[in-house]
Amino acid sequence: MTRARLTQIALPVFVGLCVYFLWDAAVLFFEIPEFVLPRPSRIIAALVENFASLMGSLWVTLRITLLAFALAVIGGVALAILFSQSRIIEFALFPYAVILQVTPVVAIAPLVLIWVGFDNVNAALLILAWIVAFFPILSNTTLGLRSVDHNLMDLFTLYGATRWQRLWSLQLPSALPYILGGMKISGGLALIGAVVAEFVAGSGAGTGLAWRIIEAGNRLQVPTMFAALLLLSALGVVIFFSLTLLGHLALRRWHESAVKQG
Amino acid sequence: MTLPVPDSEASSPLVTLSGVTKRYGADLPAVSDIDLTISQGSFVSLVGPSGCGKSTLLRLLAGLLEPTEGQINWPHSGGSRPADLGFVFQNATLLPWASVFENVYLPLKLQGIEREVARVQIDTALERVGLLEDREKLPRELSGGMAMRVSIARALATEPPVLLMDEPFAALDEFTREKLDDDLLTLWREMEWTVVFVTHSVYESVYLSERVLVMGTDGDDADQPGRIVADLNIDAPYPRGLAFRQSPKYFDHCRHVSAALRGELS
Repeated sequence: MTRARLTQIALPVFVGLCVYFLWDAAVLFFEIPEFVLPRPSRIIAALVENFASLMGSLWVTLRITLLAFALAVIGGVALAILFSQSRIIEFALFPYAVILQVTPVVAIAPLVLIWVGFDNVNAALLILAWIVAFFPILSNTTLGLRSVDHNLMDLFTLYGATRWQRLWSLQLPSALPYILGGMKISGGLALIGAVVAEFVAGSGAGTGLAWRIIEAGNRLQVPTMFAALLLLSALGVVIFFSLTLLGHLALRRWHESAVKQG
Repeated sequence: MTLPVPDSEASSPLVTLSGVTKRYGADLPAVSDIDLTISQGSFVSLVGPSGCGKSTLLRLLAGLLEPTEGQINWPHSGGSRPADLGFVFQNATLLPWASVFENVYLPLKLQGIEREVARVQIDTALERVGLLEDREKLPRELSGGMAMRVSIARALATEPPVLLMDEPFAALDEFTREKLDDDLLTLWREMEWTVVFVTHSVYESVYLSERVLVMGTDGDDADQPGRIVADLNIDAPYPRGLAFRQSPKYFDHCRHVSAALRGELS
């Protein structure tokens, strides 16, 4: 491992340790009550105590996030392909995709809950997380499908390529870096969407991490709130790095962004 | 050893343009009123300053553009352009994610030919440009000259009757360029192709071709439509090499083409 790489890992770890001890010292020194800010050791203890039930909640949130993300990728790419094939469809539908995107999901959530019904809270959560996650995929893929080298487009025209050949052998591979970039944004948004939706759904049948935060907050179990929060952050980080790795593996052989220089 | 220079009057025409005008939108035409016959098996260069319509004319020939007025007639393929037509762009224009082999296979793939059936044809094309050993490489692993060779091999793969080249070697260094010029001439003589070669280099056009078409605009105004201002025969035998590059005759031809470019020839 190179010296620079070592520093890159050692520095954040060092900062983390500093924060841990400063936090601990501050809580002791200022005698801050636990229901305002618990000591870090208490948060870890709460995590260990409630580990099984927190993991169950993590699984609920993770499942909704991943499902929403997968549907966002499928839906976003499919819609972008449709747009690239027909300008008319694009002109007709794109404004509505934008409207769906710019309307705050918190504001749509109650409506969706009413429509889907409180018996199907998970379906409502899925829909809401999907709405948040799908737009980056749609807009990035649309951009990617349009950014094909025009000489290559001419080449395909010269050899009489069909629409399908052009899409499959030229436009989709060209758009792949854009799609992967969109996925990286959308993975994080799917998690945010799932959590926000669960907050709004409130006491319905929520059992995910967001609901655990609300519940622990109502009971002033602040260490448990922090423990759930910790798990949510960890989940977000894992999603981000998985998608970064996926992008790297898919592009490392040919794309400028992933090719090692030198 | 003098090879007869094909006389454009006598040999059979590959394509005839009559009164061809191309207008983009409502602007002045990019090229106007072009009358031209290119005979089969000839090596023709189009030379001219930027914006004179060379590329437009080449794209009209390729069928990538439709003429606004006039006719383009290919008598050997029933009037319309042949289905097989090699085109080489200024950049190598390769699929960056596909190997050299896959890039050369592309035109055949688009015509629905199986990879296994095409293998011999692809290897032959790669061998002709001297890249058989590099077939598994990706475009980013190639030098500019090698990438251009792949591009030529791809144009060769379908064994087209005519090769259209749009300033293909303009981005390469002088040394690589001269090497590719020589290789192109060798290929042309082997394959009995027709080559239409767009360049802005007077020297390259004289060195390569039997016939140089000088394009320009009326006056100095680049917004004016492009037309063919001179049609010059380069009567020097093939194979051409260093001796030709250094002969007084070569410089005479170059001076002649340059004069036509400056509009000093009527």
